[in-house]
Amino acid sequence: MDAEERERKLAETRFAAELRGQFEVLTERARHPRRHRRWLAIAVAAGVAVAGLLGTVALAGGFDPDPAHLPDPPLPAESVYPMNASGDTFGPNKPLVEEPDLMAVMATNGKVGYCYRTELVGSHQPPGTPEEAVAGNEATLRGRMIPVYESDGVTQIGVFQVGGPGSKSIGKQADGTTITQEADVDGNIITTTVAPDGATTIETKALDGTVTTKTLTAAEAARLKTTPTPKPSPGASREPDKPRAWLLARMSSLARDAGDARATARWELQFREYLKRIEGENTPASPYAQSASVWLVIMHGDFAGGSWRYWLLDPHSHEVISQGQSDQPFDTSRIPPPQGPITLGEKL
Amino acid sequence: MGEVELQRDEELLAASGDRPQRFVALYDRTLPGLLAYFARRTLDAQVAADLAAETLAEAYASRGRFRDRGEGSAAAWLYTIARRKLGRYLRRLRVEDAARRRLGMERIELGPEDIERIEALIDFEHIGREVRDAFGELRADQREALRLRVIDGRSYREIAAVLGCSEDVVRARVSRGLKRLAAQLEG
Repeated sequence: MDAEERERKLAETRFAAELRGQFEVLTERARHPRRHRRWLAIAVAAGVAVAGLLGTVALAGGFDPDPAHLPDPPLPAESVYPMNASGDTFGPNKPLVEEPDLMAVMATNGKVGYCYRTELVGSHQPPGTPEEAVAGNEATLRGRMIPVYESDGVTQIGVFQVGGPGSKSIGKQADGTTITQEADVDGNIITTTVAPDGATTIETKALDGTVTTKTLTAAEAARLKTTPTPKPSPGASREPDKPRAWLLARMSSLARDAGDARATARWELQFREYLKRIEGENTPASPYAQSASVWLVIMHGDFAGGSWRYWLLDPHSHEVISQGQSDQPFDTSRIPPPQGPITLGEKL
Repeated sequence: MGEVELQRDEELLAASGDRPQRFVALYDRTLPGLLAYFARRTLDAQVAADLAAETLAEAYASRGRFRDRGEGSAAAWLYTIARRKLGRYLRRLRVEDAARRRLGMERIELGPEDIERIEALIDFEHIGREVRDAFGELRADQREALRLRVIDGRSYREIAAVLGCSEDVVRARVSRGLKRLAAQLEG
C-alpha cells in the first residue's frame, strides 16, 4: 500500500468521521435565525475593532503547498521569544511565527509589561447566543481590564484596557440600516440605528439595565447632526463642569509640585494613543502605540521652566502617564476642552 | 461531479465565511494531509489526531481572515496554523485545545484501528534507522548520559552517581547530546 493510498484510507477512520460530524454540527449552528444577525454583526464589528487595538499577525506566507515539502517548525531552543521560569514565552508579537504566551503591552500606567495571550484573545470568542453577543459587545464597549505582568507572568504591574469609551462598533444590515454602538464615560450604552431613509432611533441603556429610547425623523436627525452641542451659559450653574474629586485633588497637587498652586486648568477625557515605543531587546520594527482613555490636563501658570504644562492621567490608577511643558504660548483652541478652565486653589 | 468538487480549496475556504457548510468539503480534502504531516513529525498517532483537530478548529474559527491569493494560498494558510500548533506542542509536549474548547468541540480518543491506520503513515523503520545511526555518532559520554536519562528515565543525581561526575556535567552531556541528535536528524 503506497503513501497516497494510506492517506486516502484515513478518511475512512472513526476519528475522521467523528471529527467531520463535529464540524457539521458547527456549520449547522452557524446558520443563525435572521433576528439574531443584527447582534452578531455588532459583535463581529466589535471584535474587529478590538482586533485593531490588539494588533494581528498576517497568516499568509510563501510556503510550498505540498505538506510533505513543508519546512519543520523551529526547535524549542530556536524560539524567537525568550522564555520565563514557568516556560511561557514572552515579547512583542512577531510576524510569521507563533504568538508568544505573554504578549507585550503598555499598561494604562505607562509601564511596559505582558498580558497572557489567552486573556487578550478572550474578546475574540464568538458568542453562543444573541444574549451573549449583546453582553460581550457591551462589556467591550464599556472596556475591560486585563492584568499586566512582569515577564515572569506573576508579578502584576498594571492593567491593560481593551475597548472602553471612544471605541465604537458598527454593523450594517442587508437593507442598509446602520447600527452604531458606543459607551459614554458613565458606562451607558448608546445604540444609534439609522434606517436607509434617515429615520434614527437612539437607545440609551444604563448600567442598571434601564433603557430609554428616542426616535427622530430624518429631518430631525439631520438637524441634530448640524446643531453644535449647547454650551452652558456663563450665568448657569457650574455643577456639570466640576471635575471629579480625585481629578481636582490630583490637579491641585500637580500644580503645587510644578510651582504654582493657583494655576488655571483645563481637562478632558480623551481616547488617544500615547507612548509610542517599547524599548529594549525586543523592540518591534514599527512604533508600538497604546490606545486607552486618559485625562488630558492642561495648566497655565507660573511654572518653573515654562508658562504651561500638560499631563496625561490614567483614569483608573490616577497616575501620571506622561507630561510635558513649554515656555511658548500654547494654543488651546486646537483642543476643544468641554470643561474648565478653573483656577486651582479656588473653592468650587 | 458537484459544485463543491469543482471548486478550488481557496474558493471553498473563502466561501466558507458566508456558507459554513463549504468548510466541511474543505475538511474532507485536507484532513488526511494534515494527519500525515503531524504523524510524521510527532511519531504519535493520538497527538497527530489532536493537532489536526485543533488546527482545523482554529482554521474554522478564523476562516473569515483568509484571503485568496491564488493557487496554494489555502494550503499555505492552513499549514501556517499547523506549523504554529506543532511548534507549541514541541516546546511543551502538550497539545493546545483552546480553539476546540472555544467552539465547544470534544476531544476524540483514538481506537486501536485508527491508531494503526495513522501509524501506517509513519515510516518507523526508516526513522528508527536514522535515530540509531545518529545515536551511534554521538560521543561516548553523551551517548551514555542520554541512554540513562532518556531511555532508562534515571534522575540526574542517579546518573551522576553511576558515571562518577557532577549533576551539572550530566546535564551538559544530555543537553549537548540531544542537540546534536536533533541536528543530525534534521540534516
